[in-house]
Amino acid sequence: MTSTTHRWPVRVARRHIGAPPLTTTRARYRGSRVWVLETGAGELCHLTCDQDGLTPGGITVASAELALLDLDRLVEAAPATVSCQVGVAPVDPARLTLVGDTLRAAPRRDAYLNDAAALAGAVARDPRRASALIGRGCGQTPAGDDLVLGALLGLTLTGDPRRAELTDVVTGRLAATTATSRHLLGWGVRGEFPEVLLAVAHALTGGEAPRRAVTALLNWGSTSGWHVGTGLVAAVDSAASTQRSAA
Amino acid sequence: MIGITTFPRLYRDSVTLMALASRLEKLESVERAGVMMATPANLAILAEAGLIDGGDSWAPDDLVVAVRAASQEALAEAEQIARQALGGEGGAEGSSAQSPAPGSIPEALAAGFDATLACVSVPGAYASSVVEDALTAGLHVFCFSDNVTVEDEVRLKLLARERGLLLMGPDCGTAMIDGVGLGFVNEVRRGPVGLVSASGTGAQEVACLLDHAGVGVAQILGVGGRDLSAEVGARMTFSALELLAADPDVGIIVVVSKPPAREVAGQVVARLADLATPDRPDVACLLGAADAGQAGTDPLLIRGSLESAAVAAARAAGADVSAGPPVRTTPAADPHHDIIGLFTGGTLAGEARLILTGAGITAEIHDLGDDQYTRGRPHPMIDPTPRAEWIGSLAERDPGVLLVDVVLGHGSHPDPAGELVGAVAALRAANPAASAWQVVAAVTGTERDPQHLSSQLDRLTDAGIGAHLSTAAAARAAATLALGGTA
Repeated sequence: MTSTTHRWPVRVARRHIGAPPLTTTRARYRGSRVWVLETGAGELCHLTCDQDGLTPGGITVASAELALLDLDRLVEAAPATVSCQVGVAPVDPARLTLVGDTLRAAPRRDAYLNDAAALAGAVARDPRRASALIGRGCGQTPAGDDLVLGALLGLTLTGDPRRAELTDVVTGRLAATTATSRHLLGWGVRGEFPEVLLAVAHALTGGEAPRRAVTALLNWGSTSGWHVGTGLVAAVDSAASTQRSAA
Repeated sequence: MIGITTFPRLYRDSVTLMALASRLEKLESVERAGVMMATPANLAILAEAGLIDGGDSWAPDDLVVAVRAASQEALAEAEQIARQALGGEGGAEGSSAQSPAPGSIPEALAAGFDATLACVSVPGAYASSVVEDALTAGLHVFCFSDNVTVEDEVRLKLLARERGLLLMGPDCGTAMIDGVGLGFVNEVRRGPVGLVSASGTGAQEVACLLDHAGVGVAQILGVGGRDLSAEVGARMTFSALELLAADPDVGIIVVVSKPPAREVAGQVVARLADLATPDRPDVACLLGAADAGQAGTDPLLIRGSLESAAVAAARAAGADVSAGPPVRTTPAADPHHDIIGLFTGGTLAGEARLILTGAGITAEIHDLGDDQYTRGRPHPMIDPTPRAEWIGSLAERDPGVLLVDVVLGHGSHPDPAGELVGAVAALRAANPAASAWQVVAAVTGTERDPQHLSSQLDRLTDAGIGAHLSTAAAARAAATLALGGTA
């Protein structure tokens, strides 16, 4: 390539440091917004563009760079490392309502998972219900997994004790879903989530504007963003009502 | 009977999979179709639907296409569609997991692709470096990308000329090389006309009008909309003329351009005059120019509209055709109704403006393919939604005459007439006054286009929309309606 105009440094998820060099990887998928790389050991690394943000274990480059990316040059970069960890923080009820309303008003497009909101609520109340959802849905990250990932984030954000039970269920069922979903759920179990989800979590706790975060979420994947958001809102709702009952 | 195709470790998003399942289920003789990643939960759904027997043969990262159909033929058709939609040429065996597509031109050449031409369609900021890669590798280039700086365009066209290569573009919408179409292109008959075009839709209309006259096209060489500007100096037009002059299949050369820079137009006309002979006349279609040269006597004919250029070229090829008469020239007209033009083709909008101005009518003409309307959206020839929104907004205005283009061919929307009919029906139903809107369409296309010219014309006329085969004819009809006549 004669083009050597990549804008460095790229950003790399913190835990990616120490992982095998990218030269040992191969591209499983090259899309316009994401590349899925796989190491010889089968570990995935999501190479995303900045409009979709960083994924745990992954790397983000400027959106315009992705189409012309040279993996060898990526290795030469001095990346900024970023944590994708989410911590416990109080959720603003008004912001939760706004996010929930925005998601309910958005078009839903997965014919393989009816009543997603009700299913997400059921998982949040009883994490054992997640078992039947994992791997359910047609795409690379099945819609059921997306709901569960959102519920994991919601229970993590609120510090809800049911999180431990949900992580056990998810860990036991990882083999029942796709590699990409295993990757995201595996990181979720460790408390790390894609930046686009972290942005919504921050918006719920008083950070950035909820509308902007939800708009980015709805553009994440084909249907994944909507399902993850629905799982997140259901879990935060459920945690809040549990806390109210306890009080 | 059931057909199952497995695509091992294939990555596709859910919308692609759902769209494929829906497409398969619409096939005649297909009763049920499922397209899913082979997770246990999904295999249970497929088994429940009677599409598979058990789930032992697959891993969660396999993609399964399961179809229940009434015949073996239907299953074969469904499998072929699935392989095309999911796997490109290789289908299951050549999935992206096994052999990712080349990510750059050097990668493609290193992988052994035996190419002579590169099509470049990347964000404009990167197009110049990709074009440079291709030219350096000895490839001719069709560059669909726009937003390339004029400085880069000049530099790359100089490089192309140094290497004896053709750089079609940047911002080149249409080309046809030895019968192979690139970009937006119509299925026209092969014949003696070689087109050099700095206007995509202009070339499409001229080629289609020639086709209607029974005259075919040998080549369409696009050069990009700025090639005849003062800065670019027609560098690729000259290269294209050299290629066509050496092509034994080309008997008549036609250059099509939006209004060019004056000094550049002079150089192009001079070059055409050098190439033209009484046996092989050439036509310069320079939008807005005064007509010059007599068909049958002069070897070089200059024409100021697409329609008159097509007529001149067709006559030079021996066809007996003529352009329609002008509506009115003097005095300036005083139309009873406004004319609103909503065009997807920039040159077609320019042609309409010329005809109406020539008739003394001031019309409001919009080129919806212009950058200001397409930022962040597909071109309106692909996605008619922006024009439908415009048409809907006309309900708030006094009724008048709506003049539009309908461009058929490869790359265009599969049913542009249907979309227009829907938008016009919504406009006319919006309120009682809006029902008075009169609509005239210029249809560019041929019977062999994927949309089929006759069925598109039927759709328009059935909906009370006047349909014409050239922009000039449609503009004349709109002018007649605006002046209170009947078209």
